[in-house]
Amino acid sequence: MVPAIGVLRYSFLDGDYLLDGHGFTLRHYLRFFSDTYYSSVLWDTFVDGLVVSLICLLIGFPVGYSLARLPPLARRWRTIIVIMPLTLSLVVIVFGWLIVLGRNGLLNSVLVNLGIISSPKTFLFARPAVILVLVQQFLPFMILSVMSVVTQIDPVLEHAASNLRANRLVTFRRVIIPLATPGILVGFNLVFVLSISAFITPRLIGGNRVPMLGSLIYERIMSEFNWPSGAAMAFILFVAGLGFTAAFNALAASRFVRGGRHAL
Amino acid sequence: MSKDFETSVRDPGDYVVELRSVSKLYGDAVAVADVSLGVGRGELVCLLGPSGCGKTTTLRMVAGFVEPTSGTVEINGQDMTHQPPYRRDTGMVFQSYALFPHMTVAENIAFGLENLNWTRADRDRRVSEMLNLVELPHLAGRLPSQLSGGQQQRIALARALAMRPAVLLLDEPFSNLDAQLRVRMREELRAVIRSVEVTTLFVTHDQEEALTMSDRIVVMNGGRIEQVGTPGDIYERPESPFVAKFIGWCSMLEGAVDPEGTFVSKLGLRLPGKWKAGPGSAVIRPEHIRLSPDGTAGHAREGRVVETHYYGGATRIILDINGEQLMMEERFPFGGHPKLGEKLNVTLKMDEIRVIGSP
Repeated sequence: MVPAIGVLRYSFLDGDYLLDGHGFTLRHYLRFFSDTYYSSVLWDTFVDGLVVSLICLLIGFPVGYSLARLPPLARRWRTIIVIMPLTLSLVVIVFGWLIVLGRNGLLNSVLVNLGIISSPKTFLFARPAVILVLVQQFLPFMILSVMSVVTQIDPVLEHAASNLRANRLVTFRRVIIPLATPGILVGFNLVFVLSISAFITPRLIGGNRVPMLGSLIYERIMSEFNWPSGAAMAFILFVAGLGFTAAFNALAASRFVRGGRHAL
Repeated sequence: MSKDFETSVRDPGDYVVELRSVSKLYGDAVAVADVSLGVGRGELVCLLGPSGCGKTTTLRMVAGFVEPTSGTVEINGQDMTHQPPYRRDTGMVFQSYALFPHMTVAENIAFGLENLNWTRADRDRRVSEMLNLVELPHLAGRLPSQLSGGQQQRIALARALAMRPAVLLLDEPFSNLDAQLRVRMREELRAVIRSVEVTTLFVTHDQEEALTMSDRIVVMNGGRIEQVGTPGDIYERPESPFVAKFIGWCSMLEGAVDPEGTFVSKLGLRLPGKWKAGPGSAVIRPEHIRLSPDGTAGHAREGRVVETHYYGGATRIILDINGEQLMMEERFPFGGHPKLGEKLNVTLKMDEIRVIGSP
């Protein structure tokens, strides 16, 4: 909390270098909102965050669900495998991906050798690469969220649905999804917030071609040493992210939580 | 042992559920071994046995949650052995009731009807009909978490019956209720089943439940059927020592029947009768032994009181007769309790005592 309040205070400082400004100004906020470049980066950041969260949900739900339905012992060591990437330094992971995705990297040489492409392509410094790496980083959060909520759903409810003439799809749509919604929301919010605030991955994998607000803030502070402006952007990201997740959750809650009938 | 059902009064073509030589193996472990069973239209059949006897697995094979390793499952004359549960015409009440926690009572009951593509109006009509049947019409809008255990059970029953299934399946439906409620729910459930005349297959480990509710009882042990019969058959004419011991209380004496038809126990207690000669076990229920104060009636014996257990309504006494220990039950008036070591004159109802021949 204290650093966050500090950041809020810095964002109003009238200065453009480190913290040697003083007084009170809205100048940094006005700069953000008067230049459409920033709002388009903010928009892109949110879209990327949503895409990453959605992909994580699509992969993470089946994985988390099947983990939850395993006997405890079998679940334990598989869970460890899921958590493993989180124990690695992010820098190690990102450099690993640089090697895999690089022009002379593993992916290119495999594709060329298989004859799928004739000459190496540039995967790095493009949005899909950033999204891929973000998905890889944050997938465990989604899997764990889904897994923990599905373990709370009594498997006998699936039998009951099946006995009541519901095939697997109907059971999934009307029983599993509504009951798993709290876990899905937790995972979705976690991945979304982590994605929109990511700065190492967009910077190293995306370079300058894939600006996300996180990397912009990092640059503003670490390269231009403009702390007040960076702080203002950070605060805008914080408020926008908070507002977005709140709105999203309210929407999801009204649709799913008390609605066997209305779900999907 | 499974001959019983084949010789029963019903026409085999009238079975709503029919299992033919059904077995279920989990690896090397045998859960159900060669079970054949038919449930007639409108009949209430109970699978009774200790835990791990295969009764629940058998029920789950009828519902379709477990696929048999071998044998066939027919419902309404159609082979359903490999069909998923949602294609089978069954309605099940689960031990934990398994009501959907995110749906209201009415939504729970309507769930099956929606999957059968009933119209909204038809669904609403059936839901209120079912709620009236279980006498809980005022709970339509409640969530399961707002209901008592007994109410949840009745809603689970209403939900299972709403689809008018060919067979109602009940998996230990009373085990989550306290003792007094259990007896009341048993009566209510039986009344509802009778009123809608639904064929019912029912699993329990509680012999009292089985005896009071069933038309026929299937006693299972170790994955096999031990005996099939009416409650009276099972209690009064057990065909194996297991059935005799599992249903009701009894004293069992090892021994043999001599050529004259008299049973002689290992310790020399003689029970004159007309049993078939050969080794066997005599099944003596507490009610087969009666006090005979004057000692003159037919087969009067003298027994020494070894143990007494006061149960309020009656006292259970272990008597030592000729070194054999036999259990009897008697209602003694105030202060009339026999003391340990006291001698009592009793008669044995020879014609009701059963001798089970050794296999």
